[in-house]
Amino acid sequence: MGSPKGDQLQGALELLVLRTLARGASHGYGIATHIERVSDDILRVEEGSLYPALHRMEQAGWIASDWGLSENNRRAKYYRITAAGKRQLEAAEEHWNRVTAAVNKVLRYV
Amino acid sequence: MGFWKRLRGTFADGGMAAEDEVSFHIDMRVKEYMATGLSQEEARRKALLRFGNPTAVKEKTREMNILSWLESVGQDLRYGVRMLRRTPGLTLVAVLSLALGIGANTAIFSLLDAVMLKMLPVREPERLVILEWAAKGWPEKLMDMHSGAMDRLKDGRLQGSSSSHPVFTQLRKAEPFVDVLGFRNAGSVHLYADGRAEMGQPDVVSGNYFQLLGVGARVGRVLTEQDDRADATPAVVLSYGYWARRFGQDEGVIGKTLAVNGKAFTIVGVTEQEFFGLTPGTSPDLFVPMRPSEGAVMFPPPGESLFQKENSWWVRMAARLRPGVTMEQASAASNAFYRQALGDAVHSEKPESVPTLVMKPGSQGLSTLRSRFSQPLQILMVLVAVVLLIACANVANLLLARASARQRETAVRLAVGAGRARLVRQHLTESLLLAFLGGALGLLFSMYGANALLAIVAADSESFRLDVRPDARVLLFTAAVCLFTGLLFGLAPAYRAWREGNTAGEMREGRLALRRWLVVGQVAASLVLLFAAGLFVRSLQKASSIDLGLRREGLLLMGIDPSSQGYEGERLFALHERLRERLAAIPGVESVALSRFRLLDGGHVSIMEKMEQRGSQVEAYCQFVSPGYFETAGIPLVAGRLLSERDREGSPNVVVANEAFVRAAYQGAMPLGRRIRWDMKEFEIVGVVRDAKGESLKAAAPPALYHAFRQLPQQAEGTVNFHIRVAGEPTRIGPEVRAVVSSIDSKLPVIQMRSMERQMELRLVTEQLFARVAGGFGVVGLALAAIGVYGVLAYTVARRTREIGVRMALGAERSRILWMVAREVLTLVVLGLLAGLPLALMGTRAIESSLYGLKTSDVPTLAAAVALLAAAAVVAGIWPARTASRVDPVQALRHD
Repeated sequence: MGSPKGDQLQGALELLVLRTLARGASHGYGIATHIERVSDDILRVEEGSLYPALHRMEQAGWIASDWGLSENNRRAKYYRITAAGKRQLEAAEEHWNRVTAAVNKVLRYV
Repeated sequence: MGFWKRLRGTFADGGMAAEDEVSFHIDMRVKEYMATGLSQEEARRKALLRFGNPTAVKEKTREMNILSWLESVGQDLRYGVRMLRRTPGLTLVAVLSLALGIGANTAIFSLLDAVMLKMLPVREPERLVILEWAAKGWPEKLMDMHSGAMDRLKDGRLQGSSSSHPVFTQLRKAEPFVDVLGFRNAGSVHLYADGRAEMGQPDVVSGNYFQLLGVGARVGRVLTEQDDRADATPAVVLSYGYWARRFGQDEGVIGKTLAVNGKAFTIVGVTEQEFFGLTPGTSPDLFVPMRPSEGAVMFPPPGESLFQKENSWWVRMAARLRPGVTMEQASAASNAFYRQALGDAVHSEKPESVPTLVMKPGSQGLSTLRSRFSQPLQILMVLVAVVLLIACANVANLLLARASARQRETAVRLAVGAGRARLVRQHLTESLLLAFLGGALGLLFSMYGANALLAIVAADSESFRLDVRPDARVLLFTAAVCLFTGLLFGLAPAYRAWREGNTAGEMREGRLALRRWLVVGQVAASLVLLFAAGLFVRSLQKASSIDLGLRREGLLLMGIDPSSQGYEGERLFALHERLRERLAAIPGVESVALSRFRLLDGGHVSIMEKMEQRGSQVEAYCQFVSPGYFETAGIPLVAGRLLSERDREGSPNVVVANEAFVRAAYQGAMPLGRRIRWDMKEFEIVGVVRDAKGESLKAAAPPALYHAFRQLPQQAEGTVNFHIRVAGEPTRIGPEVRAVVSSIDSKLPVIQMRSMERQMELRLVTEQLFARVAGGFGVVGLALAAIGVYGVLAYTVARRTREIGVRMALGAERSRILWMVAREVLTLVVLGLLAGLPLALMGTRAIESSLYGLKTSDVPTLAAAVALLAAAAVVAGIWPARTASRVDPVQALRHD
């Protein structure tokens, strides 16, 4: 199932999610707010993309989920990163660095 | 993470997982906004706005890949189950009608599978060929005895199943074959072991039989070449069935002695459970090696041996082709070999009478069953398919009715963003769920059904064994039928859901039209079914009242085989006389006579020569009888005299002919005093009797000649049949008959005792099968169609309650309202009949050849079918009509 959006963008969201989960398990809302807070609200996570991405990643085996209780005692689905996810995170991070470095090079070339 | 674990996880989550997650997210967002000072409504509005369409996200989240797809199917299924449970009555009716339809199809298919498709349980059955022969003329120089099957082919050629033992031995060396095996289905034999006597069916087999088939022993060993020698210790292998039945699966039978017609054989083994010999539908009790069986199971003429005689044709043959050799190649290569094997007599035979070898695929064995039942079963298959179609239409109708009740729910689902495709899929999932529920129940029904069918088919044979347990093919068939029916009846509601998705529910009139057409289709299909059923039932009635040319009431038939107990010559005839006297003394018995062949069992066909005209040949059935035979059977004398006590050895040889023989041999001129030559003797025709039916009830009585037992004593050997004329119900005296036989010789088993009526029924097995199955399903189809009519009417009335109320308020008579409903019934039925009539007339043409003295244009049957259908429709319409005419205008106007 191809996505209409470019791979780069999807890759970025996955990378951010994996990075966030590498800190510890969190529910979807938590992931979204974490990314927003850390990026000083510059990166706003589209819910319409977040949940499909979470399911996609779960099926890819990068993350796993459990039901747990949230801070205010509500049932919430907690996602955590798996070993495969950690490997993917490394690879994705490396890829991201290469791409941004490349983009920077192009931008700096005057 | 393994696939299954993940799959399980997908389902274990519950369908509401994504929803919970989303609502949790939104709630958190609401809190966040409220913390910034917004009101709850405002916060929720903003949160929802920000999230976008939750349903769309949910769907998108789900339909990510196959696993998600599976999950959504799981959700559809759960939803479907919930819907089905919400309307238990409808579900029950739908599942039951489907179970009936699918069960019927599976039952017939199981039988079809067992009769036509199952392979022999032997090694590489596809390389097995059956060897038979065919010739234009009777090979009289080459053959003077043929045991086995002989038929006239459509092209007029004669086809025979058996060869002589010398030919068999020669053919084993033929190039295209790995080897050839020989066997013979010998008649009943007397078996005695552990102090108990009974009759059993042996197969006489060559020593290489089991090795070539690749069939092993369950206990002990199978027969080998060493057992098939004249000087071998007689050995016998039991079939699994006989071993289980007679010896209770005792493994200690190995080494025991089994007396076969008085000759001692050692039991050396038991065959595998699946193996029933080479003729599906029969099951030999034991396998006896050929050479040791001479004199015990097979009896050559005195001073001769079946193994040297080239003119005695009794060995049936099957060969295993060498790898890579096709049947055509083998046939071409072995025919020259066969001609040579026939010996020098070939040169003196008329060229058109020299037989050629014919090969048939042996993978399914040689089954008379197949030739007898494959066409009837195919016809029944079509009939039950029609039943299934009617059932499908019913279920489709029910689902459509429910779909309108679910309109609101559908609208809501559409409004919250469910895709049309998803709605259609939901409908199809529910249909398939229903179909498979019906199928599972149907499979259960079919097991009873198949056994009931088997009981009809197997009525005439006590040794009939057929494996109708559902195999993979049957299960696959049932699954395919379920899928097909589910899609078929699911299409209507699904199509409707699709359209509704487009136009949000402006479909009322169209839908009712669809439901009406479904009912019209049902009526048409029921007419076809009823007409076919009617034809079969009438055909059975006609066949049962056919004039047999004898008095069938009050006649008891019973066989015995005194030769197996060593009776021969004068002792044998003395036994016959004693039995006749003692049986005649039973109260109620009017007369007793015996004959070689049972009435309606046919006999053997022979060629005779008219003395007045040298070289002239006439074919006739030969029967051998005791005095009093014609009187007992009730076959009237036409001219001359009957056979009597005076016709015995020493007195002039005489014979009685039937009218068919007179027509065939003498163009109808009364032949009293004419002479014929048969079996090297001359006989004078002293009497002519009326024709009595032979093997076939359908065919005219064949030419027949009746000889006196005492003039041809060797014909009294083997099984002979007593015909006992009784006042009243003949089977009543059964116990006394048995007592008489056992008081004269306790070792003489009574064989197949039954009334003449029963004997006749057994000749009508196919007709019974047709009449019962088609009749049964005719009724089922009728009931389903009536339910269909009822459903549509009840729905129409319910929908028009308001309109009816208005009409009544405006002064319409109740009779007018009734007429309104009646017109609806009439329209449906008339349209259905108009559509069904041409279908019925054309469709039944295929069964014309299966009917007795009936044309498929039989008007009374058609009229009866139409009347029955119309009556059923009226009955189905009564209830909705009453409801309509009792509508209370005041209530109706408040309605809705």
